[in-house]
Amino acid sequence: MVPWTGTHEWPHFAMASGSQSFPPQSNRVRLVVATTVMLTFISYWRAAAVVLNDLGSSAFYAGGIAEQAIGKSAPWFILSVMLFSFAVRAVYVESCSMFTRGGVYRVVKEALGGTFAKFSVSALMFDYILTGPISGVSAGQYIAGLINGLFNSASIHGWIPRAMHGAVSHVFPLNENHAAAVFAVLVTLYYWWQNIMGIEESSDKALRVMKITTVMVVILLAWSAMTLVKVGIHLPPWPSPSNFHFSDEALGFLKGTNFARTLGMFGILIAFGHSVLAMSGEESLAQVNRELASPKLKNLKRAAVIIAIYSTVFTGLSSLLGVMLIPDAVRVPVYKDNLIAGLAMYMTGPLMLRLIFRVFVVVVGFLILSGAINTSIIGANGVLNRVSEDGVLTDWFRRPQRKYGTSYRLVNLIVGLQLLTIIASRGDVYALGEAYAFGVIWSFTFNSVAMLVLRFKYHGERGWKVPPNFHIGKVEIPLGLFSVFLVLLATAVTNLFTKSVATKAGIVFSLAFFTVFTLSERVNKRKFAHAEAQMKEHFHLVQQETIGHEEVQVRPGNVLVTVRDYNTLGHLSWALETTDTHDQDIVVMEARLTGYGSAEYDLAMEQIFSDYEQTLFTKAVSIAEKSGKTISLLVVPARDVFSAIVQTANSLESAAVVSGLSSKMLGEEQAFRLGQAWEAMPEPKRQFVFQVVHPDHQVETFRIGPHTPTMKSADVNLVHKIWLDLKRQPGTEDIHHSDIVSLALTRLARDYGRDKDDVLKNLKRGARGPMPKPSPFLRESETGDGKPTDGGRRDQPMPPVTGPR
Amino acid sequence: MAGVYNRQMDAIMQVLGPVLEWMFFIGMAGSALVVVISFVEDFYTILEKD
Repeated sequence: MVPWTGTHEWPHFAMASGSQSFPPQSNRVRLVVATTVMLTFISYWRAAAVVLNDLGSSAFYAGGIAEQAIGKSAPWFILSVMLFSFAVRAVYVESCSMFTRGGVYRVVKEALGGTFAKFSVSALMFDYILTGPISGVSAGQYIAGLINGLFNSASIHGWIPRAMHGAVSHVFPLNENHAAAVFAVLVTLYYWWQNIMGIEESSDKALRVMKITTVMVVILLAWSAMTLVKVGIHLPPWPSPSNFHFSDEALGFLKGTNFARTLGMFGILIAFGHSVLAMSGEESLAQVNRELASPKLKNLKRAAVIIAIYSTVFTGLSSLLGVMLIPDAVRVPVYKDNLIAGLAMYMTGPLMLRLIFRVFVVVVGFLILSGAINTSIIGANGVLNRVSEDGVLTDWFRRPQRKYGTSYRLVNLIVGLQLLTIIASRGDVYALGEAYAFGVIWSFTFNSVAMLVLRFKYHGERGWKVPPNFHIGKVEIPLGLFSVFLVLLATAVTNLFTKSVATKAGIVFSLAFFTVFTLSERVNKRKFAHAEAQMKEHFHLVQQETIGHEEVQVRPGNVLVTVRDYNTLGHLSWALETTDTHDQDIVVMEARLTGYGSAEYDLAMEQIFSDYEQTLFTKAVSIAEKSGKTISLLVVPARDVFSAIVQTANSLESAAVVSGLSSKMLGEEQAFRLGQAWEAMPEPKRQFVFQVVHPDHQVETFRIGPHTPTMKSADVNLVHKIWLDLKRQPGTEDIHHSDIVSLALTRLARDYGRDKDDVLKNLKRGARGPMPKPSPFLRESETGDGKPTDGGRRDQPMPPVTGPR
Repeated sequence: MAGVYNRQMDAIMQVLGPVLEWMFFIGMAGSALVVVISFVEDFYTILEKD
């Protein structure tokens, strides 16, 4: 895999190493594909929060599941899994530090071949699809457990009026499994609709959830410490073979063998295998890697350490405290599926306080677990999109939803499978956990073996390697990586024998996906040959790491037209109709979105410009040809469409951006989001005009960036009076109105620096009536036809801002 | 641990069990080194200035 740098021609449909360029032909349209993703970078704290939203959610169910399988010594295994997860994390850091393009499928295919790659993606899909049901059902268990607990407390303390007692006793106590399943179905359906509409995930939300979770963890640990002081410290039994009490389900296919009667040290493997789901969510680290701010590797390591410490403390200690504080008589029978809620109830202190804390635990559990459902849908959708781009799934799966433009068929498939899983499990967290562990351990194992093989096959850039490594002659021996792989493989194979339901479900699921992938790939091979021929005929693709007006071969002051759906290109027709292309160039741009679940690796060029983009741009070119004007084409990969637009407009020095009216927001909202993205963009940045074209060709026009404030006529008159007065003085010929405003502002800034309070007081006193809310854009005119009034050319670009003035 | 005696599974595990045990414990020893070395390295990274 040789990394692509600089300007390259179309690299064929093979991985980046298979370069093949086609000389430009006069009848082909030049199309620039930017390969550097337009990302809004996030700090390592935010990255850690995103990962912990997934990883931290397992703390709510991992302890209970492990104890049901292996007995009271389970917390030691949860702790050991959390410590081992430091090593698994190191493998992901190495994987992220490699310069590779493509998805998981491509990377594993490069290392191990197509068959292994398909199984690897199948295991990853099993992991993602099970994340949703286990999180939803677990959240439902916490809520149903709380309702039953509150009913029980109210009943015992006589808080329920006698008249009502008979009526509620028909409903309560709730069947927690069934209630949890119903809850999980409802939340999954909610997120299904959100994903069909294409909601955007933000790291802000993840950070907020983690802040609330941290408050809960701090209270939990502090209160538990106080309780331990009072009741004494009674550690769980040590993890020695004599202390293992495996349930029949925990032995799986080994049940009824002589081997199971004398497990000895093998019991440790079984117990470890039943605890691995505590580190589920580790793979999210690779997904946020692309968005980490510079210095990337350092920040990745920082995020990794934060995640490691946080998850070990939260998941490891909460499991340990559960066994230490909740009495044996109720821990598994009552609180097996809501262990942290049980912990809240067995703290020292008044009942009401404990109930309030339990409610808080349930709220936090709901936030983090329901978020994990959404993450699983987004992640699975991202992975399948990548697989589809790689030609392993047919384009039929990726066809955009007519109104919202989302890959609704994939979302339907994922959510359909999740709903089936929830219904089949009937709300049993243990069964779901067992199955989930299959996906988790096999996806980690495939990743580690791929990394191991790539140590010998991949000779490109690699920022970091899992230590320790030593040399025998010229050959480097990856001791650390090999060790991690050995543990993962041994655990994965052991789980095949001890988790009978998971093994059956996992194998059936993986084979089903493998078959779909294999058949789709065969169909696609024929289609790809045709598509490649068409590509050569119509487009001349040029790959660029970064873009500017020179790379795209357009003049500054151009018009950038954003396109997404080939069914709604009315705004492009309008832009062509209203722009004199002799004077201003038109650039048609598509922001190729990549989601959280697919941000592990950069996209390869043929993934960025796929079959869908080919159709979209063919239509765009056809519209331009009809109007007899030329356009330039551009595709940019992006995480956020608004950031991509402002960054591209800035790089191309565009004077105007033209978009169609969104199906999800008003023109004003589109302008607001664009303005926000503009504010977040680093200097130097330029202003531009943003025009939203409605389907009936009505146009809303906004100015993006700092703009002239709305001045009152009295202030304008005052400036004019001062100017007239000044003009009477000799030597004032060159003084303009703007000089008066500049001087006044300079003096205000000086006064503000000297006495902030006095200036504020005067400003408050001077404020006359409500002013419009601060906005990152200015609405230029009411809805109209939006045609330029200055002889056909849209606003000239503002000079670039090079620093504070 | 009641149930019907599973002779085939027993035979498989008598061979496979010790192999998996060795793989697991040798791997764990090496992984402990990974954890210690990478954690110390990462901890220094946290303290470093950009």
